[in-house]
Amino acid sequence: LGGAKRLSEDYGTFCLSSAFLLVMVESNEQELLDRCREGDQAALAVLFHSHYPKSLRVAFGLIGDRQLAEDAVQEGFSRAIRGLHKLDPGVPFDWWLLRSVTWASRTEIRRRRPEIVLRDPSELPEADVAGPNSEMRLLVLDALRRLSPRSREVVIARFYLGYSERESAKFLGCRPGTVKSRTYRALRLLGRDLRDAENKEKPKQGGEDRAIKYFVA
Amino acid sequence: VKIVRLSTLSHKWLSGVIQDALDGVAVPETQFVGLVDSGVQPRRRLSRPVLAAALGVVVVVGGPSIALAAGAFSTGPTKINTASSIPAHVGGSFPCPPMNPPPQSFAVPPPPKTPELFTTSLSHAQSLARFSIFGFGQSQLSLAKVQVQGPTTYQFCQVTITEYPTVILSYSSSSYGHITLDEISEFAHSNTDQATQTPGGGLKTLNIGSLQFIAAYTPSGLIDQVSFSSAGTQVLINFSTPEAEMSIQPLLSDLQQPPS
Repeated sequence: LGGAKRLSEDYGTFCLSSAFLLVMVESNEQELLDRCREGDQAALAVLFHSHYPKSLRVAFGLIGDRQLAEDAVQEGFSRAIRGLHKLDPGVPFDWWLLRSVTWASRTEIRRRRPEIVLRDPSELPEADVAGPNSEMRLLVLDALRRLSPRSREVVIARFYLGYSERESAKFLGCRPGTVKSRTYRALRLLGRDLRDAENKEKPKQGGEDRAIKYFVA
Repeated sequence: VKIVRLSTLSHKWLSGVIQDALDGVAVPETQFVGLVDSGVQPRRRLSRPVLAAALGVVVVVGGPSIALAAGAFSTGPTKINTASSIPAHVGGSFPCPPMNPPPQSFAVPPPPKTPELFTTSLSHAQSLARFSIFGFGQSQLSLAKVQVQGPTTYQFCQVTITEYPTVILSYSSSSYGHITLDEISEFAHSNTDQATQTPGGGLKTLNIGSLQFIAAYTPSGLIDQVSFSSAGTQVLINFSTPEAEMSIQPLLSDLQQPPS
């Protein structure tokens, strides 16, 4: 933390290296939070920059628009910091922040319902996705955008953040049964869009890890 | 009884592709933007600027024209009440108070009568960028004056500003003719998708190193100039507009040179 302060004083910027931030956050997050509660500027900067990438990706997955996602992250961070005194000691800040970002994303979606469908990598405004799997990534992001906002939340919570049904329910502020039903509906829609991709990539023959297997009609 | 197969998506596969897709989303370095305007509730008006100041970025303070400017690089029109009219010339330090209790009790320092911030040297302005509220107004530190002349229809130009160091840019027009600010804001917003689909361009992209936004509107030639301001030292401005004639008039020639 002292290093961050020195850096900020010396260079007039908080653009610290991500590796440095990660080391600091992982080793001393509680101390960082305590310092944030006291209004420590360097601690705030470390928290913001270290949690920004994941927060942005969650918001982007929820909203589907980069600029709105960036704003949702900032608003969510602002809310998370404002309510820091309500954060229980046992609750990770990561969870607290992402929940706040999710709430802020809901607000952004309510205000403006962006309907941006990107089908061709050349249509990307600024390389939203990159790398060798860009086509597949676009396909997945496109499929996500077709879902309803609430379904996207469930999918992000379950399959990106890796939360269980119970954890997702707590994260999203709903009942586990709601998570379950929304997951069901979301997977059915995702399956319609992604089944071909899955079969092409790695054909599977059923099994215990099937999200939705069968139902009796 | 009929067994119907609904989906073959597996949790493991789906988790993998979703994580890959979202992890593949590019995350540029960003700045925390604080927006202040009198039309916003006090708590909302001050909390983000306080955080923004704490995070070492520029906080924009101002009235309608500033709201419009802010809308160019953030989601301004919904966050800012453009009908409000607080003085645009605001400057001064804005220390970060403790976050608990909430910071709504902290007041913005009274604006100086003369915006010294923007008449001082560039290096001084740059050093102030971390913990200061910047007010942009008619006396702003202008890098270039862009004069746009075009046909009587609406048009927009795309302005790409690259390689600026740490600051947020704003723009304002000296005259909007018969068009109200709200109309302009709405117009800017309504063209977001159109603009962002242009390769290499877009609206209100706020990154260190790249800022792009809709810049100019010329109904009946009533809008005569758009100014861009920045406290940065390395600002390269590239203009491209398919319809309008545009000339660039540097106001501060030394700002065009990279720092030694």
